[in-house]
Amino acid sequence: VRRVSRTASGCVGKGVVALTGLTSTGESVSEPTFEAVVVADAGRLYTLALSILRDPGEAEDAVQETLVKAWRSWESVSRMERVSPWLTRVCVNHCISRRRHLRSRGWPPLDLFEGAGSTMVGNPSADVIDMDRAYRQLSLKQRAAITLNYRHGYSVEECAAFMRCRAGTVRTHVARGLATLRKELGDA
Amino acid sequence: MLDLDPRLDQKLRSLYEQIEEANPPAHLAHFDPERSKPRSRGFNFVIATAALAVVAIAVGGFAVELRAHLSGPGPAPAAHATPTPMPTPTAGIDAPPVVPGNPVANPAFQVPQVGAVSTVTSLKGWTVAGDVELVPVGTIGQPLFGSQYLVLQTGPVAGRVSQRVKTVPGTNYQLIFTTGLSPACTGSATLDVYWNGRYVMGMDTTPATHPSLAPGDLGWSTDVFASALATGTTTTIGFVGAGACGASLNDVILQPFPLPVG
Repeated sequence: VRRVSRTASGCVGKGVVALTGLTSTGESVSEPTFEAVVVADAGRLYTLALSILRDPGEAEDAVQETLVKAWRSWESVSRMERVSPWLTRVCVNHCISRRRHLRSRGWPPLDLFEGAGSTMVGNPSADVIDMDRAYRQLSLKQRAAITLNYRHGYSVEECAAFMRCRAGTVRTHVARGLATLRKELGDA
Repeated sequence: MLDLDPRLDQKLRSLYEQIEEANPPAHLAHFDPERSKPRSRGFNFVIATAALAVVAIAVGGFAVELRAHLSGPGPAPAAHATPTPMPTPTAGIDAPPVVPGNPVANPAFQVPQVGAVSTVTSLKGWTVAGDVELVPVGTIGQPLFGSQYLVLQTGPVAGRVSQRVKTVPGTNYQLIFTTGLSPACTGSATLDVYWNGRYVMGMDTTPATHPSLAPGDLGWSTDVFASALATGTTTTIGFVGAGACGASLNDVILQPFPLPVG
């Protein structure tokens, strides 16, 4: 089994793990680079994290944490046929994890930021602002379940795999989240 | 897909479109894993210290009250006259996560409970070999979960733990483990991960690669080996300390991971 050190030459300070190998016939084969596979997905992960966390700084942290983990696990990650679902899973779990909550319980409280500065770009309509206010009343798990299921179109079972819980739990998060949105918007 | 009423559907879609207009920070496109550390790295230590201080004050206050109560009028019960220090079973920051269906026994190494740093030769559920230690909260570093964590030392014999767990043949699993630096060691360090006796990955836990960590912060991180295909009804998972320092382990979870399409 090939063993790849993450501090091997070619990795340090460049942010790119460019590995090459030889096939049994001696033909040189370029393996996917960390940058091409993982970093290229950062924009999508950022949007996903921002949808769940509704805080640009926290979302940035989540993406960075995801990229660091991908880098540390590059040896196995690079062998995956589809890295994107793995990255999604790691990112979602960071967003809803207890460890992040632990950090967030420090100072300054996350809640102060959540209600304070607008994270909207441009001039959002009153409806969107109202919706955002209602959306922020949801728990992180409810936001994650709705984002993955509603916005990204993943099935409940796929959401469960991403969120490390049961499918029934995802359904509960979605249902309760939507009920809260309806209540907050006066649509109940 | 969710079946929403049109009004809520429209509002929710508008919100997500608004969110997705935000541009990610430019530096994420030029991510350098050597230099990039999340802003909050190291915050754990501060919070953990504060939390432990609060617990210590609370426990201390209770002990004072207990002592005053025991030394009050009337004879104190003999069994309580000389309280002996006992390890607190749930003194950690967070209780270990309980993951439904995790086939790993004693996944967070909370059994047996130890009151001081102890070399162990047996752990409930695990096969132990080499230099393996249990480190309780309040001694060296802090566990992320529960009241103690495992250290796989590297000398004189590399510490290793393994466990045979039930699996479904042909199913893809993800092996999730919480790993940290080896405390009180500054050399190179690696946690090697084995799947059915086959080396599958090595996690770098060298302290020098985590320069931003505060002293005592083991830099706990959740890592995943996601392409674990079970070929039999049982699979042996194993962890070995390597390099000069070995590594710390705090939690192990194995669960099916059907890779979603999309």
